[in-house]
Amino acid sequence: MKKIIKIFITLALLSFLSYFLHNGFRVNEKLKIPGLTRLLNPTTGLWKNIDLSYQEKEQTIKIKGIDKEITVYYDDRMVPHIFAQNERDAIFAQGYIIASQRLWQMDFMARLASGRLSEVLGKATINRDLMMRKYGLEYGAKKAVEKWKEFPEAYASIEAFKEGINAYINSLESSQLPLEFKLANYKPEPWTDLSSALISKYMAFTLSRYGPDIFNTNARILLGEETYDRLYSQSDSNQIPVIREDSSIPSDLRRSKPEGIDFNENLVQGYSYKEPTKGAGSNNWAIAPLKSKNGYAILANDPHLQLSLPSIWFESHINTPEINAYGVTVPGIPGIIIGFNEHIAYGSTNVGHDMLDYYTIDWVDKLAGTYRVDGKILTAKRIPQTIKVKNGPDINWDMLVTEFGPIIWESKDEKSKDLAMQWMALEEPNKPDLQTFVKAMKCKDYNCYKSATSNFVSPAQNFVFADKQGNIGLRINGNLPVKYPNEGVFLKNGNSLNNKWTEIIPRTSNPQSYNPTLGFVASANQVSIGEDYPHPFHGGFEDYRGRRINELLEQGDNFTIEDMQNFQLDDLSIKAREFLPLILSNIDKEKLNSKETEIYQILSAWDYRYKAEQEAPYIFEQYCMIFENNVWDEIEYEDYKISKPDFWRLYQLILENQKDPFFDIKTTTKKEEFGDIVRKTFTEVAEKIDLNEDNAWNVKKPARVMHLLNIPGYSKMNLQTGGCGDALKATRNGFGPSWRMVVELGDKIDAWGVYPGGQSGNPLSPYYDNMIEAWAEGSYYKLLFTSDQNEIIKQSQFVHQITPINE
Amino acid sequence: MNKIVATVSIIILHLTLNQFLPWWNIIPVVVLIIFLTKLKSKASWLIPSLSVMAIWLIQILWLDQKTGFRSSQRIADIFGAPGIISYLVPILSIGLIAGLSGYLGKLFSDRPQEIELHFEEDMDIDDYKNNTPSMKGKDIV
Repeated sequence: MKKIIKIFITLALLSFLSYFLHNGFRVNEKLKIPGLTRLLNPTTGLWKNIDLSYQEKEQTIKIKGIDKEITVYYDDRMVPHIFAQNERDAIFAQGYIIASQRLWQMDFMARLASGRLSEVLGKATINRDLMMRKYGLEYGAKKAVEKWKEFPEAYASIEAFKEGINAYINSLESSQLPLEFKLANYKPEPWTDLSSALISKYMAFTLSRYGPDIFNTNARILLGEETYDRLYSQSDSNQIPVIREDSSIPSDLRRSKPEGIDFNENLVQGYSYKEPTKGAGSNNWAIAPLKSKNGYAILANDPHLQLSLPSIWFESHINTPEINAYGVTVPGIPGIIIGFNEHIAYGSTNVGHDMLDYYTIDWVDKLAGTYRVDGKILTAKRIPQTIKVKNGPDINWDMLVTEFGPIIWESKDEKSKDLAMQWMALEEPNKPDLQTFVKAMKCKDYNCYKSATSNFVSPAQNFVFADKQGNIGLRINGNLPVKYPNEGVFLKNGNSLNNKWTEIIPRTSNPQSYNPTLGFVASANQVSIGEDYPHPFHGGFEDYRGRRINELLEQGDNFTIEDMQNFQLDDLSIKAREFLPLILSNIDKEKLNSKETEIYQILSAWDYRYKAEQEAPYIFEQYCMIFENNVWDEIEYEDYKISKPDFWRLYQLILENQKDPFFDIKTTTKKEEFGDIVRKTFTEVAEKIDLNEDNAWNVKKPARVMHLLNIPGYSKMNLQTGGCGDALKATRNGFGPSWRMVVELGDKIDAWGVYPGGQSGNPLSPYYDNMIEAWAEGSYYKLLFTSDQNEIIKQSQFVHQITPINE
Repeated sequence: MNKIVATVSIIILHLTLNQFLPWWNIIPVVVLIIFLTKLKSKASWLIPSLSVMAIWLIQILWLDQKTGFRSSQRIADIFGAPGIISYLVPILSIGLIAGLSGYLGKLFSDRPQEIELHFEEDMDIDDYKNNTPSMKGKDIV
C-alpha cells in the first residue's frame, strides 16, 4: 500500500512538472511563463534557432515547383542576389527566401490583419482582433483576391510567390520553426493568396485610415461654423504642395452636393479613435541632371513607418534575362516596392487624402439588420465572425455590412447613432493591385512605370520616378474618390445612397508632374496640389517637412549623393525656426530668475536642430505642449472629443491677431493676450524642467525599434539618433525612416541604403539587427547591384543552389 | 555493470527519441531502463539525472560555442535574464524530471515479496546475507 502511494505521488509530481515545463503557466493577466524545458531543449528548442547558415559556404536545396536551377548569392549583409532563368522562378525564389528569413513575421502580420491573433496568443489580443474585424480587412482582402483571378498574368506571379513560401514552410521540421512559434507554441499556416492580400490591406490600415470626422463634427457643432472654419481651415498659405507643375489631363467628372442634409447634426459621445501620429509619414524626391553635380538624375526615398523588429522591409536583388532589379519589399508582397533597376529608380510616400467616410445608420430593427435608406428598408449583409481564443471560449460576433460599408462603431447611448464606414481599402479593386511591384521592377521608362503603377489602388501613394535619361516624375497614385468640397470632413447621413461617393478620378487626371522646370519633384506627405485643382480634397497632410525639402532643393544645383543623404538626415524644424523667435521676443530677460535665465539661454542659443545630445529640443517641445494647452483651454470638453487645431494654424493666429480671444485664459478675470500666454507658459516650463537632470533630447525622448511581440530583449531601445516629426529626419519614439535609399542613375547605378534592422527575422541571428547602429548614426551601405554574376560572386559570403525536383 | 548499461541506454534512447518526440520522452525511457536494470535507490535517480544533464550540457555547449558563446545570452534576453539561465533552466529541469522518472522506475522494479519467499524457502540466513547486495556485511537482527 505504501508503495502504491509512493508511485501515485511520484507519477502525479512528474505529470504536474512535465505539464508546466512543457506548456508553461500564467502568472497573471499579462504575464505567462512559457514551457521552459520545451523551449530550451537543445535538440528541438530555441538552441536550434541559432543561425549558422552563413557558416556553410555552399548549400544545395532541392525544390518542387521551379523550372530551372536558381542561384542565390548572399552578400555580407545577407541580401539575397537571386539569379534565375525566368520571371516565375525568380518570384518563386523570392517567396522562398523571404519565408526562410521572415516566416513568423509574415504569419503574424497576416493573422493580425485578419483578426486571428487570439487563436495563437490567447485573450490578450481579443480587442485587437475585434478592431481588425470591424475594419473588415479580411472582407476587403477576399474581394481583392477574387479580382486578381480575372488577370491570369498577374495572378501567375502571386501564385509563384505563394508556392515559393509554401515550399519553404513544407520543408521545415518542427525543430526548425522560427523562435516566436516555439515561444507561443504554435505552427505556421500554409500561405495563401489571401495572406498576401491581408498584408496589403494592413498597409492600407496603417496609412489610409484618416478619419477624424467625428471630432470634426463635434467641433463644428460645439464651436459654431464660423469658428470651426477659422481654426480648422486646411489652406496653409505657406505650404508647398507635392505637385507644383501639374501635367494631369483634366477630367469632366464632378460631384455636386446632394440635396438635403448630408451632414449629421448630432454630437457623438464616447467614440474612440486614435489619431494618426503626426510626422509618421515619408519623404521622397528626384532631381533632374541640371541640379546634380555629375549630370545624372538622383532619386531619394525614406518611408517613415512604425519601426519594428523583424524589420518592415526586406532587401532583394532579382536577376533574370529580362529583369535586373534591386530594392525592398514588405514580406508577403512579391516584387520590389521601393528600388531601382538598370534604367529607372522609384519610390513612394503616403498620400494624406481622406479615403474613409462615416455614415450614420438609421436602424429599423438592428437585430434583423434592417435600416432605412431613401425611404426604403434595406437589410444589411450579416457575416458571422468567430474569434477563436487560445485557452478560452470562442467569441461570436456578426459583421454587418450596409450599402455604405461595414458598421464600424456601435453607439452605447440613444443620442448617437451607429456608424458605417466607406473606405477605399475595402472597395473592390478594378485592377490586380498586387502586381504593381512585379511590373514596376521590369520598367525601362516613365510610361511603363505609369502603366505599372496604374494598377495600384490603395493606400494612395506619391510615386516618384527618375531614369537614366535624366527624366523625373511624380504622380499622386491610387484610387481617389470624386468628392464635392468638404465631403467626408464631417459625419455623413446614411439616409440616402446619394450621400455616398461612387466614382474614381481617372488615373490620368490624378495630380502629376513630369520633368518640371524646377528641376526636381518632392513629396513629404504634404498637401497634394494647389486649390485650383478641379477635384476638391482634404485629409491629414504634413505641415513642415514638405516646405523644408523644397527649401533645400531650391537652394542649389550641384547636388551629390552625399547631399541627398544629408537631406534625409536633416533635423531642422521649421516649426521651431518660426515659433521660437516669437516666444523669445516676448520675454523680458531682465525679469527672469536664474533658472529661467538659464532656460532662456539654452533656447536662444539653439539652431532649431533636433540633435540627440541637445537640451533645447526637449525644452521647446515641452513649451509647445503647455502653450497649446493654455491657448486651447476654450475647446476642452469633458464629454466630447475634438481635435486641437494644427500648430501652423496657431502660428498664423499669432501673426493675424495677438489679441485673439483664444489667447485669453478662461479661468482668470484678466484679459490675456499672446504675450501673456508666452510668459505664463515660460514660467510653467521653468517649473516643470529640472536642470539638474539630463534633458538631452534622446535621453528624454529616445528612439526605439520594438520587437513585434514587444519583447524588450529583442528590441532596440534608447537609440541616440536625433530628429523629430517636423524634420525631414522624422524619427519620433517608435516611428521613423524605415528605409533610406539614394540612387544616382549614371552610366553605372550608384545606390546607397540602410534600414533599422536586419535581413533576418531571427533574434538569434547576427543579421537580425546588424544595421540599426549604422542607421542610428546616419550611415549608409553601398548596395551591391550589377548584372555581372562574377562581381556578385566576389562579394558574396555564401551561396544557395536551388535545383528543381522533377515531378 | 548495470549502471553503465543504464547510462548508455538512457543517453542513446533519449538522444534518438528527442529528434522527433517531445522532450518528456525522457520519462518513459528512464522508467523503462531503471525498471529493467533494477538499479538500487540512490543510483536509480542519480544515474538518469546526471547522464541526461550531462548530455544536454554537452549539446548546449556545442551549440553555444559555435557563436562564440553569444547565443546563451541572446536566448536569455527573452526573459531579460543573464545568459547562464539558458544553461541552468533546461539542465536542472531535465535533471529533475529524469531523477523523478528513475525513482518511479525503481518503485516499479522493487519486488520485496519475492525476496522474502527466497529467504523462507531456498536460503538460510548466511545465503541471504551473502547474495543480497544491500545486506552484504550487515547483520540481520
